[in-house]
Formats: sequence, C-alpha cells, structure tokens
Amino acid sequence: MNTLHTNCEGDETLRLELPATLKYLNVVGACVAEMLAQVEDVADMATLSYTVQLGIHEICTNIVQHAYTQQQEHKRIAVTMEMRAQPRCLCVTLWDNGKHFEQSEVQEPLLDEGQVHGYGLFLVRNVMDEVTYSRQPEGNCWRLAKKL
Amino acid sequence: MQTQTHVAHAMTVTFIGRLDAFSASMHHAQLDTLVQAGVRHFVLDLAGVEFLDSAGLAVCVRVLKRVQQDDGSVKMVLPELVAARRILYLARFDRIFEIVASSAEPGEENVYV
Repeated sequence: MNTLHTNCEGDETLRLELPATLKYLNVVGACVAEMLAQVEDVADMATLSYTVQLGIHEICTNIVQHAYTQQQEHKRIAVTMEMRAQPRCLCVTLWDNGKHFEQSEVQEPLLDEGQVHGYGLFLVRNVMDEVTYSRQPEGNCWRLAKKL
Repeated sequence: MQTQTHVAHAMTVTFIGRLDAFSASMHHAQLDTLVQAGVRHFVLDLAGVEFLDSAGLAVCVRVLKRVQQDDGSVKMVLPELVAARRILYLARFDRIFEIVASSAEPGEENVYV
C-alpha cells in the first residue's frame, strides 16, 4: 500500500512541543493554518485548513483526555508537520508518552441516534486521508496525512 | 370540539467562536443550569461558531438527550462557516436535530455563551 508518510524530513518541516492540556490546543491549530496559508492553488483553503486543524486537534484531545492520567508527570505532546511536494500533502506526526491506545475499545458512533461520546476518531478518519497509530519504544505515535 | 394551541417558547443559546474540548465543560455547565431552571425547549444557535469539534457535538447531543426525557426539544441554527457545517452533516445532526434558518423569533429568550 502506498503511504503518504515517509521517514525523511525536508526543509518544510515544523516541530512543536506543547503541554498536554486543552488550553494549548488552539496553538497547534494556528500553526497549521499559517503553514497551509503558504500553499498555493488550493480551491477551498478555508475548508481544507479547518479539516486539517480538526484532525490534529482531535488526536491531541484524545491524548490529553485518554492517554495521560492525572497522576502522570511531564505530560507533553510532540507534533511534527511536514509539507511534501510529491504527492503534495501535509504529513503530521504526534508523539506522547501516555497509555497505549486500544483500538478495540473505540466504537463507531451511532449516527442516527446521536451520542455524547465517540465522534472524535470518527471525524479524524473522515477528514484526513491517512490515520495510523503505532506503539513505539519511545511512546505512542499517530501519523496523519492530508492531500493538498 | 375545541382545540387549543400551546406554544412552548424556546430558549435560544447563542454560541460564538470556539465550541470545542476546551470550552465544552463551561457550556455543559451553562446548559445544565438552564435545564435545572426548567427550560425544556432550546434553540442552539451555532451561526457564529468558528471551530467545532467532537466535544462541541457532544455539548449539543447531551442537552438534547436531557430534555427529550421531559418531552423537550432542541432546534439548531447551523454555523455560517461551511467547514463547520460539514462536520455537523458528517455526524448526521440534520437528522437528529430540527434545523432552523434563524433563532430570531419574537418572544424568545436569549442567552449568549
């Protein structure tokens, strides 16, 4: 399977490292918006920017609320965003040192009923082109990608 | 035979800016206060929402579930921002909520949050 993510980093790479608290998540969104604002020839940049911000924001929220426990110290999220040329896409990697994410515990939302929990990853998978999670020796790794 | 029409006035709650994980707990508390005060019919006006996430969706569903237990209702004004509106359609909120064009009806009370 072709993947948009590769391990190499180019010149168009931006790194952020932030406290894993909800009040800082809009900082990530602002960085995404500014990074995407430099991309030319996008038909609907406002919608594209919003959806990428939402995808990253939802993963960060998941990390803050579910990966890290209240007792854990040094709760941080490391975000790397890289603009790729071929194919043109934004690749985002998020790292945390919290609990392992268990896919089997996440249920798809019952869309016709409405529910209070369970929309987060559903939205991420619907607005991003790639979403993968892996547990690495150095922590939890989320990789997202969006074609531009 | 006589019929009477009972018009239940709705409380319009207007959201401005971000309706997200950071602000959700505040919005939950504000809506809980209104429900505890006896409000059973709401119009959630999201026209001015600039960023809406899954926690924002949960704010809307939670108040709906609460008032439905007492035969209440929740109508919704969609965000003007197309991208935010698409998120609501993605979550099929147009099937869960009655979508209205505007919250501006005479006689209704308004709360800005």
